[in-house]
Amino acid sequence: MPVKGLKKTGEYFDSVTLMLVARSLTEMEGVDDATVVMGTEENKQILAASGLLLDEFKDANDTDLLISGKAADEAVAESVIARAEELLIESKQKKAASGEHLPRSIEGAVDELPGANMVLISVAGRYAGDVAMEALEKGLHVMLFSDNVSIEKEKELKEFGRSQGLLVMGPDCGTAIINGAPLCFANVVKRGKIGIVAASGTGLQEVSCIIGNQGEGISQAIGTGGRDVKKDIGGIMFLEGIKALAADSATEVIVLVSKPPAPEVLASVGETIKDISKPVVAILIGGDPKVMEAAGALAARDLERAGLIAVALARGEDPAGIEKALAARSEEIRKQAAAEAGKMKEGQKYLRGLFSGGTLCDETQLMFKDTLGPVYSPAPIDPAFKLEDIWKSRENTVVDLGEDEFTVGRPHPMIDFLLRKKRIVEEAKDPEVAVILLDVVLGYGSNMAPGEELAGPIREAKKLAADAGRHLAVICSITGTHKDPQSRKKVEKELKDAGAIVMETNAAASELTVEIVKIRGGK
Amino acid sequence: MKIISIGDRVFPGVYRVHSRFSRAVNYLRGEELVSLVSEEAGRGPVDIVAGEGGLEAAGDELEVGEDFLRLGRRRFPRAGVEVYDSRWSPGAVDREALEVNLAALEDYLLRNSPSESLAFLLEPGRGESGDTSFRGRLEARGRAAADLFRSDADLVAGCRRFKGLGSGLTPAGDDFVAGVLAALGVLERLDGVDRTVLKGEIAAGARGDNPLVNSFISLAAGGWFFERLKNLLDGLAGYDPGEVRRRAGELVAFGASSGSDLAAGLLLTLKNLRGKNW
Repeated sequence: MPVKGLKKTGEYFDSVTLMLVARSLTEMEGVDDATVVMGTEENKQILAASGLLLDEFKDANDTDLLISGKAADEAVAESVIARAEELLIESKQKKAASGEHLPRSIEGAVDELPGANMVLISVAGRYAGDVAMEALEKGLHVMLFSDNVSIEKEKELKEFGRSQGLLVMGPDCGTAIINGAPLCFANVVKRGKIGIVAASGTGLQEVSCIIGNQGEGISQAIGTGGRDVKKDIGGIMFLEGIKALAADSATEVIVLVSKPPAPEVLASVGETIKDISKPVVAILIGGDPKVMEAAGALAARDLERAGLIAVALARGEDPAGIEKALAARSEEIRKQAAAEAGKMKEGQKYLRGLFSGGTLCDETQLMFKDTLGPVYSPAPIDPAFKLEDIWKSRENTVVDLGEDEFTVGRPHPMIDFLLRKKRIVEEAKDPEVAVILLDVVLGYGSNMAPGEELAGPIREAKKLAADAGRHLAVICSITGTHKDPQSRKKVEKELKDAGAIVMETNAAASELTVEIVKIRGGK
Repeated sequence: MKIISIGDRVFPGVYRVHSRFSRAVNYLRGEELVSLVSEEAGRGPVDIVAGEGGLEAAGDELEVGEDFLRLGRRRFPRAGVEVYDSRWSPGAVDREALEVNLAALEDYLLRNSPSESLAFLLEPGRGESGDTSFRGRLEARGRAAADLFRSDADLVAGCRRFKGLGSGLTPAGDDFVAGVLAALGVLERLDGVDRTVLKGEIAAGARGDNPLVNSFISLAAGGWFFERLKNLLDGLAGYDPGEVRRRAGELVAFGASSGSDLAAGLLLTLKNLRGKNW
């Protein structure tokens, strides 16, 4: 096979650039092998053994960069070297271009964009609180994506923000839609009459997507960060968000999304919404709906119902019709479950839920708890079901791969699927697994090719099971709209082509899973 | 713009620029390296950590004085600037906790290291597949070298085989050897056996033409560690496995695979060479 190469002397590229270039070259079609390495003696010996050492490399030293490609024919081999040069030049140009000044302080940013009234902060947690306070002192609303901010600092920020009439969304706020603009992990939803206040990122995404997919729109979707509704913070921004939407002329229906707030916060929320004339829908995942109902809100029992109720109210329709429609769907789901379960081998009975969205994971846990009993999890609803080894499932297990233990030193699982892909295949090896359940979250900030990336492991998992005489059901939900950059339609097709069952919401996917596990005797 | 920290192995002199990257500008004075780094890169023995705008202001020359720093035309006083202490000084080490934490570190590295790193050496059987691609042969060489990590004497030979091996501006094998040297420093602390001569031999065998490699090998041999490595060592010595994983994550995030390679060298050496009395 022809080999082409290039030696670069006196030019230095950082290791990340070299790694990315090497990966690109090996993925080129027709390439048998390609390397990008420094010209050390050891590397030259391996190049020689691999048939990649050219004569011009022989006198290279440790500081020379050697690029080598072996391919099916001369043209491809030459294109490897051309591509390497292109990528290395691009990396230099990016560095040169970034000689344009990018502000790295609030002051600098405000100077660059006078008139901005909001700042989005994503810096290391130990600095984030001070940066946020600086922004508030300049009269800016804050969205604080950073986590690892102390609870004391969060309270200080929110009390100050409240006193100034400013929003503080976060810390650890990953999702918001403000004036039609999706921020951080968020979906493209048209503007409309429904406002959301959420202490839950994927909860906000799921509800806003359901609303958007039904043809309605979002006025504002305000995230507060998950700790806001705990006792220490007292729901400061949750309450301010409700008041802001109550006063907003574009908002006609208000949706509240949260895990169960602290009792005193729940009481304050109840008091606040009593004075609001607009309809309020509340989904408190796992919480007692009575307080909200007593205050006049419509309590939904899952995220899907919350979105559908809000849509009905926005259209002036009676939400009672929703239950009828969902009951009909449940009938279909039961039939589908029976068909799936009927193909399975004896012994297959358990669920393995692998989630990138924490709230979606919790919703599934709750649906199981309400019907079949608690499931194992690193963050279980029932503490008796704590998964001892987070890397090893047992019985019915659901895992939120976005939790800290899984994300140290790596991107969030909504972006980087590496851990989840490995785990899908691992779970498929367990003969007791009946269902693998996955959430697929689209939108800005998320993985741009989720269908493509998940298709491989889904196929591999199903084949592994099939080779052992088992039928494995892989069930996916998609949180996303048709306007999201990933193309919901394309993702759905890719997943279905790989053999997955795709349901429109996490609630529907979880319902199907529950039914299958029930039939299989998983609990 | 301000200077946030200066490493304890930064010595006075005029340094000339060697290379520029997004988070670091490297300067040399003869063989001595000093790096001007961003806050995200973190602190180290030869690092000057600059606040916002520091790297953009970096010129072709850096002058270190007794009481000032000069970047291009700008002078900054050293008074009041933190001096980063790069020595590792653990308190009492809980040996049992250390065993548990080493297992947690190994598990973390195996699951989270990039495919280009040498962390594969922690997996039995890897490097024995007979794959004749560059990567396959690299893994086989790495495996053969790691198999020599049975005693102090064989360690020198093993480290020679890692010199210059693999990808990266500072090749993976060199980062691995830095991890070996760091581990020998840890063992010295724990068992009281002086390994200065051994470390010197390994460092001498690892020197080459790349001044960046030569610098961090010398620093590792001398027991002067950068912040992420020190934090991991502290974690291993006295914290719980969850904290060890968190700190391992910070080290693995360093460079393309440098952090993983260094951690792999550290771990393999500690696993193979710790005696009963450590």
